[in-house]
Amino acid sequence: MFHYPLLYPTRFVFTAHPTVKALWQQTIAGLCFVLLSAGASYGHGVVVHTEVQQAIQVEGVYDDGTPMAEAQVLVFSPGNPRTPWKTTTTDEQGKVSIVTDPEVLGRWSIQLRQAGHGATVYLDMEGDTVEVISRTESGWLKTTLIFALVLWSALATAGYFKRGRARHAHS
Amino acid sequence: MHIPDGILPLPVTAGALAATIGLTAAAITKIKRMPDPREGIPRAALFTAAFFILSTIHIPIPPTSVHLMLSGLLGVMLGYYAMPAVVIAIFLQAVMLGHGGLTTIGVNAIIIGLPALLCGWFYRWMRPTALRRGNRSHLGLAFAIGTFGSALAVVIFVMTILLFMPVYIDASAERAALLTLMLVHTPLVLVEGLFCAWLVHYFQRTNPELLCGSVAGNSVP
Repeated sequence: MFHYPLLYPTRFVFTAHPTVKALWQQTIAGLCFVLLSAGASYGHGVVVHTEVQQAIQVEGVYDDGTPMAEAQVLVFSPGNPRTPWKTTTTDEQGKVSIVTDPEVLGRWSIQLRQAGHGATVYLDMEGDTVEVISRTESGWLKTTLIFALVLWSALATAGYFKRGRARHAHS
Repeated sequence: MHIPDGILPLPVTAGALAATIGLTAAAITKIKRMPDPREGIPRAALFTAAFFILSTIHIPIPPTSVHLMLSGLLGVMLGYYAMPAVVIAIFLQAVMLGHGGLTTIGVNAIIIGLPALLCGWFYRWMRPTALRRGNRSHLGLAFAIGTFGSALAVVIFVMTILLFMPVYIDASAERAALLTLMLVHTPLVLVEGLFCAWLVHYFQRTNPELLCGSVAGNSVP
């Protein structure tokens, strides 16, 4: 409840037969009262603007499965890789929801970092389409290739030693 | 201990790459001066593969996990061969596993390679004295080398991140995370020391000429 005592000075008392001057004074006083009352009522209310936007869910996980909890998240808009457009942090599960500016098209980058570790995901935004480019995911093909390479190097090394030993024995 | 792309400013990664090229070139020059440089290549290849595999195995230490770095051991076993071995392994890890990044190969090679070179040099310097004093002394030296190598790698990593932290990063949060990382690596440093001591002691008993980055006739200058 708001009170405006200054709106009721003694000289603004309404009378049954007001003079022209008094009528003007009362009109102005009444107008002020209405305007200020309206302002007070507005202060109590809440105006909610709603807008539907596409949020991008990002989840940071270390490659042993541990979530990147409370990691720093840096969102860079296209054309400005030096200053982050937005900074936030992941939750306990390493997740964060990001809403980019739909007016700005091009390649956005989202970087998650924590204690010198991290990764960057790129979002190519063209109109309504969003293409996610991530260089951090490794598949089974990559793992198979690694083990094949390691096996090959071990066999090659063993062969080298065997040949050397045979040559040594022969000499 | 792999710094990925985008964490450090470009001038830093470029500078580190130049430093890595310089260190590798210096190491290769030293290797070329040996009577038979090719003799050490199979051993370097073997330890490159070992380093590549072991650094992909995660050891769970709450709240996160760590992996072996083997800086001390590489220095002791490979000497100057350690630097090219580390560069190759770091490159393969970046390309095949996504550990680290292509732009940060220089930084990551310095983080592991520089301690390895220092450990190799330190071991060669201290080895005769330690052997004169007995096996226990030599074992202690190997343990010290193993712990020093990985501890130095952690310190270089943390200092690099702290020194070149962008202004838009929440510095206090990053410092707290780095402190946790250092604490988590403390047991690993001791494990690396024990591993290095065990392996070096084993080679000292069975095949001592393998140590010190030298092979038959190839004394490291």
